[in-house]
Amino acid sequence: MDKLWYQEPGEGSDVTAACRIRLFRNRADLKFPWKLTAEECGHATDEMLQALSEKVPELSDAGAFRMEQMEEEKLRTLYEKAILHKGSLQHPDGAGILISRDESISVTINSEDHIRMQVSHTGREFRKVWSIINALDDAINQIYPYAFDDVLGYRTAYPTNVGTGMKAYAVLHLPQLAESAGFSELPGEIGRYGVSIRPAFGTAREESGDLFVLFNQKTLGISELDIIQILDNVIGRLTEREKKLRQEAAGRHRLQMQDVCCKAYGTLRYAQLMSQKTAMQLLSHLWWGTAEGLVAFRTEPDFYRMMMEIQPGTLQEMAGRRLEGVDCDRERALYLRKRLPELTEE
Amino acid sequence: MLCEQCHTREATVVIREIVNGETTEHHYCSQCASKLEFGNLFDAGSPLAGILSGLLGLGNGSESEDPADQLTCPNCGTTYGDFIRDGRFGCPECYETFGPLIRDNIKKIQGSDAHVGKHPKNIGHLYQEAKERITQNSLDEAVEEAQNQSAGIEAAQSGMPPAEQIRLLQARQQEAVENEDYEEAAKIRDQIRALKEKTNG
Repeated sequence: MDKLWYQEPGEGSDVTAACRIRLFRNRADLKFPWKLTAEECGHATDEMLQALSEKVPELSDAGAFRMEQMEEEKLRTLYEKAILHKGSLQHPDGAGILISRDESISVTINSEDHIRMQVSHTGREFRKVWSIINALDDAINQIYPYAFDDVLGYRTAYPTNVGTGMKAYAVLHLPQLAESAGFSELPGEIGRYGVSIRPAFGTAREESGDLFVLFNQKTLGISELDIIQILDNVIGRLTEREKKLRQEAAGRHRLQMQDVCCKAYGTLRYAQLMSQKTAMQLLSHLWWGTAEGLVAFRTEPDFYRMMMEIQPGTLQEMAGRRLEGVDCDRERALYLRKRLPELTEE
Repeated sequence: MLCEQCHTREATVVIREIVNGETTEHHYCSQCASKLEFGNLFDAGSPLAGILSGLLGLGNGSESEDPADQLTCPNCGTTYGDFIRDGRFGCPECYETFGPLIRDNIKKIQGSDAHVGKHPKNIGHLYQEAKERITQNSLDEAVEEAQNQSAGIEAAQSGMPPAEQIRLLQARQQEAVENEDYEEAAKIRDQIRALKEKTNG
């Protein structure tokens, strides 16, 4: 298997695990996908999959698929990895997808919009991601004239995305901030800057291992670079606060915190069955404990990667067989034992 | 079996009522069932589905009575009612048809009504093509054609460039919408469309 984008740690990834940008684009010459007949849509998708793989340099190594021909499990895995959006999962008919070998670049064809492209990177690297997706956007635009409005910007199927047609996301690890008293007010606070926050996996913080996704709410009247700048500013403030809380916790209750980390390590290392929720919580403790120097490993563990790979779909894909119930928990425990490096002696 | 409520239609809905562990069965037709107090169970779709999409509409939520429902996109056939229900457009040209209706609400949601940022290099849009034609010195020709096509447009008679005419008409369309004169808005929309097609050759 090729190395995937999230297996390569990025800059500042002890709090900002990853970032990604999505652009929604539409062809000027076609009705939006839901208005096309199944035949028209399928035909357009096939043609676009071929044209993009042949002519767009960023997609030269990409796999091209028709979504309704993909197995349901594969689609679920892509959803876990945030490559697919919930909407495209529910209506795979007629849609297609291109995914680069390292899965950092993907383009969804004819789901809600004609073209939804996405670029991901580990760490706090919005500018890098923007330069990649900007070039990708230009390359696709050379093939297909875009539906664009001088006043409202890029015309999207949902007018709530009109304007830049851009959504930027950052995956943040905020264990101490999430624990703190004012956390419930955070969505309101950052909402004033047009930024939203939600758990990265599932709907609850516990299932998510304290990973949260931060993203821009507004797409109109604010430039791409400003969207990134505002998000980056918010990330900066959250990171500062999170690190301060971590230092306080590690300073004041060092022994207790070390104990929590070592117990988490012991469980991850020796458990025979591991539910997703428990694993995510234990990894979260160990992650920030390691970042704060409460425990040290022989080799640097890649916590974000482990959190990605213990999701049921991804776990199943790696195992190469169907995993159900206790089988899945067993496979997860096995994976973690193998993947987690050893602690140093002290 | 006939519906036990109206005794005329075929019963298609079975309702099991469990009270103190005793189960009783009722058979209703779908019409009668939907009138019962748990009637919303039988409404099509999720009751939450329309709540947010309705926000983009004209506001009072009385969808069926809305005169704007008459508006239909000439390119894809999407009606304003469809749009309010699903919150999505049918084609890029729907922005021409429904744009003026939702501009204010877009502004409320997004905090702005004008795009800032990247412009694509390759726009297949009629409007853009019209603009390009003007720069290609075929301005007079385009204006003349536009005049022939839509003699009713005052702007055309004044020899204004088509792009300007379109802007003017769009403003009038917006005004008509604000006055809830949807018939007039639809007429202007068709004029804009004709003008664009004409300038485009």
